[in-house]
Amino acid sequence: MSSHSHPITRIFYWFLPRMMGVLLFLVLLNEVYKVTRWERDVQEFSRVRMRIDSAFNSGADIYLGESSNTSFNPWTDTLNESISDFLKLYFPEKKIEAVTHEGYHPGLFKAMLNLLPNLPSDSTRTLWLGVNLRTCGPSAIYSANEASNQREALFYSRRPPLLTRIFMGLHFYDNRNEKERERLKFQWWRTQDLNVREGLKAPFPTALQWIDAIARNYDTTLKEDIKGMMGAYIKEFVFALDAENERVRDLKEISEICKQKGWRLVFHILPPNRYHAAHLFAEGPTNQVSGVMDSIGVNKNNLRYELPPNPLTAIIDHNYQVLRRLFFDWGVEVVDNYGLPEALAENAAHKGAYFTDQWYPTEHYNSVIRLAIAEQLAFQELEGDSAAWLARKQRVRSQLRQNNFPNWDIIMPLSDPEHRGYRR
Amino acid sequence: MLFNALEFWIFLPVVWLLYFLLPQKVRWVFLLLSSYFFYGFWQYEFALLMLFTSVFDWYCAKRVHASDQKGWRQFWMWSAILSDLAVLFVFKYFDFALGKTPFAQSLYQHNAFAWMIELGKYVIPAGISFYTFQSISYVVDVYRKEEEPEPNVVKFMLFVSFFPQLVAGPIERFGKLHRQLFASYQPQLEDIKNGGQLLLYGLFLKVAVADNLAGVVDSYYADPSAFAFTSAWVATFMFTFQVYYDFFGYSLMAQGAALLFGIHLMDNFNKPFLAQSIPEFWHRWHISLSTWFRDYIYIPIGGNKGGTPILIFGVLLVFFTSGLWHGANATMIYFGLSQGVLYLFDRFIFRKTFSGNSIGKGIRRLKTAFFFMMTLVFFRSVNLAQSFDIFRDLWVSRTYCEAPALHLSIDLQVWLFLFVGLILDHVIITERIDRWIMPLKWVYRWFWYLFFLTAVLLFGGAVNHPFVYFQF
Repeated sequence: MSSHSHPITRIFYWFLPRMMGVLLFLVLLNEVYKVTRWERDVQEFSRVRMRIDSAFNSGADIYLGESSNTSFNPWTDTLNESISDFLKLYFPEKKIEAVTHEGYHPGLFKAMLNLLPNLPSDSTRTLWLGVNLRTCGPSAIYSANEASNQREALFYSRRPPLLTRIFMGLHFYDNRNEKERERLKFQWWRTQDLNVREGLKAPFPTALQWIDAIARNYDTTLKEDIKGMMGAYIKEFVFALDAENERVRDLKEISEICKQKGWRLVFHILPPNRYHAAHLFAEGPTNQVSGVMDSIGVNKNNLRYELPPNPLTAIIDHNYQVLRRLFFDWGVEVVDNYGLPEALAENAAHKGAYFTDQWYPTEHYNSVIRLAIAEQLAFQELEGDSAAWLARKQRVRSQLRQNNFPNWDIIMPLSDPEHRGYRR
Repeated sequence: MLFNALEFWIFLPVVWLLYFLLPQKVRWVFLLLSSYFFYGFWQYEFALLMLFTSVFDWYCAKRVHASDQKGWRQFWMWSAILSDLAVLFVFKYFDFALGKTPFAQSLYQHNAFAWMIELGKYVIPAGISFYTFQSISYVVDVYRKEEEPEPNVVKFMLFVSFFPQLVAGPIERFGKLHRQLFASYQPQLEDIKNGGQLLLYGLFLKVAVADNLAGVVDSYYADPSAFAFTSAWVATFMFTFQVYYDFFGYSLMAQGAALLFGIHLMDNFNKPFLAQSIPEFWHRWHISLSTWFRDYIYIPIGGNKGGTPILIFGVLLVFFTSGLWHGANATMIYFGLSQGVLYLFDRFIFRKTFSGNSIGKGIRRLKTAFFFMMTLVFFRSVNLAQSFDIFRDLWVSRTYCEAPALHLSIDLQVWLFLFVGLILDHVIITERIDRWIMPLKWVYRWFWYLFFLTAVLLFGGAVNHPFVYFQF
């Protein structure tokens, strides 16, 4: 090398052999890591990676779900099977595996699909995926758990283990902290104009103004704890959904990945707690869920109640319609359980009591709804063959045995008309 | 962008390479653009804020220099200082001082102000206190006629934004940094080796030592009552070294990154836990901030020459300001003031105690480290109530303590890396790492390189802990 060469060239030649040595060391380190600490790290930082590997490679159909799959009410449920457990009972001839964890969302499910095997053209495997409307809102998107979720998603990959460890140690993922996410949440509530979407009518232009109005006591007859819950419902449900929504984009990508890999994908829409939403904000009859009930074949003559009209349920319904339309546009198979609780309820108390969290708008259902969802999935699986479905349904129902021993004296406070009182 | 993020380790070599491939004349422009990219990568609005501070301070300094009358010179100097402090107040202290007032709530109704309030409340522009102080020092130096003003505003912007020391210092003075930024320089192998060693060792201290300690400390501070009372001692001890290695590691990396461009930044730490008194401690800990306070607050109000009352007032004012500088929280004010009180005790009461022999020195060192450790309880607590709860746990045992002891749940690697860090830092490495490691035989040198690399890559803390001082 000439002594007149560019200093960068000289440095490059000095650096090259050392860099090669370091790379060789990293290759060895990767092997050492694989046999020593990799499994421990997977168990510590990725709660379901092992489960994904065994489920995806087992040849089974897959149920991907979040907490709504497995949560049950320990005080009032006699059964504690999950939705996927019920589904297995419907199809004993099939192998069905579930991957479930609370707080999971389409972004994580999409990452999991990196590990999904490509199927040969003659093989059909089904992937059911629960779609939760609330997960598309700012509260869920900017949840405080998101950094650890994103760290976990690093493990849903086939890259060399050492690289995953480096990505984790040097935080190569969306690692924004809780406060940064809180700011983005507030920014969304403050700036998203609710009334720009066609057909969407909100009493306040933004979610933040609505929350603020409640906090400022615009209705002085409301009880304080009820106001807290109203705020929680607005924070979770008041947003205008569109195709650009982060989670909607994830859902679209999931449908494309499944197509590419030869999987049959079934989205099933999880019902939100419209009962509490409706009663928190207004009272009176409405026909808003009528269309939903029609779509799932509910006999409306059996209903004694109908939901009152109010701005919150109107927004929830609007977002639901947007999502349905998008699913239709993408050509995805959908099982629509949106109006299931209303469809099944015989009276007002039952509607709210189906939801096990009485003080927060989660999609956690008791066994009545979990079983009903599984039945809807089974009906779709049997391609609408009512006779076959009824036969299986009878068999499943006869098989079910009480496996939880609740305390029947416990009352679901907000769902019992005798105990419920939202106003002073 | 943080030094412990993978993005930085891609950014740094790319910028380095392009910088030296460009003609000498335009390199500084590229470095400026890179620095703004580095800063705006996280939140571009913050880069605009830094731009405002730079341009306004540059203009004020120019006017200071151009004016002959003392009144006008003072006017322009104070305009710069007050505008800097106003920006600092809005983005760092507004929520703490006025956040709950009707005034703040009425401002929040307007989108034009709401975003600022949200930024200040939830995020705080990274390093705002560092570059603001650096910029203020320039204006004051021009006022004192210690420095000539920079005629080119864009060049001044580089002095404020130079990325290695932008988000957590060291707070450099104009005369020293500016000269180096625009000097003719060709890359030197020696600087690259030294810079690389500083970067690697700094990353080890941050990722393998401090971040692992942070996991333990965080679990304790999340709910101190969930642990046995002895855990307060373990957590306080661990936090002391977490904050030290976090900031020391950062400072080494800043020096290392700057050295790759041929720029020598000042040493920000000098084995502070060997200090025999609190005054000495502050000559060894965050040296660039201590000297800034000395030169721009303590000495102007009288310093050591104004008599004891002025000295006491000066010390307490400096430490009160220092506490507030560390964070918009009452706990930080307590931290600062408690340091001030300990400083005065050491200066007036314990000055001669145990001095002379090596045992006495050892006792004085332990005492200094111990008092500093105690005041860090304020530094780490989320509020004063938590601080006092922890002091209670430290000094008054709880009657009911079936809760688990913190030390039982600590991984071996945490102890190991803390031990290695302490031994290396306080016993083996007598000078800066690069000066210590270079004379070693290549086998030993590479042993340490690969040890640091393995520690960082395999044992780095899994939870993202931004640099403690990054938020200041």
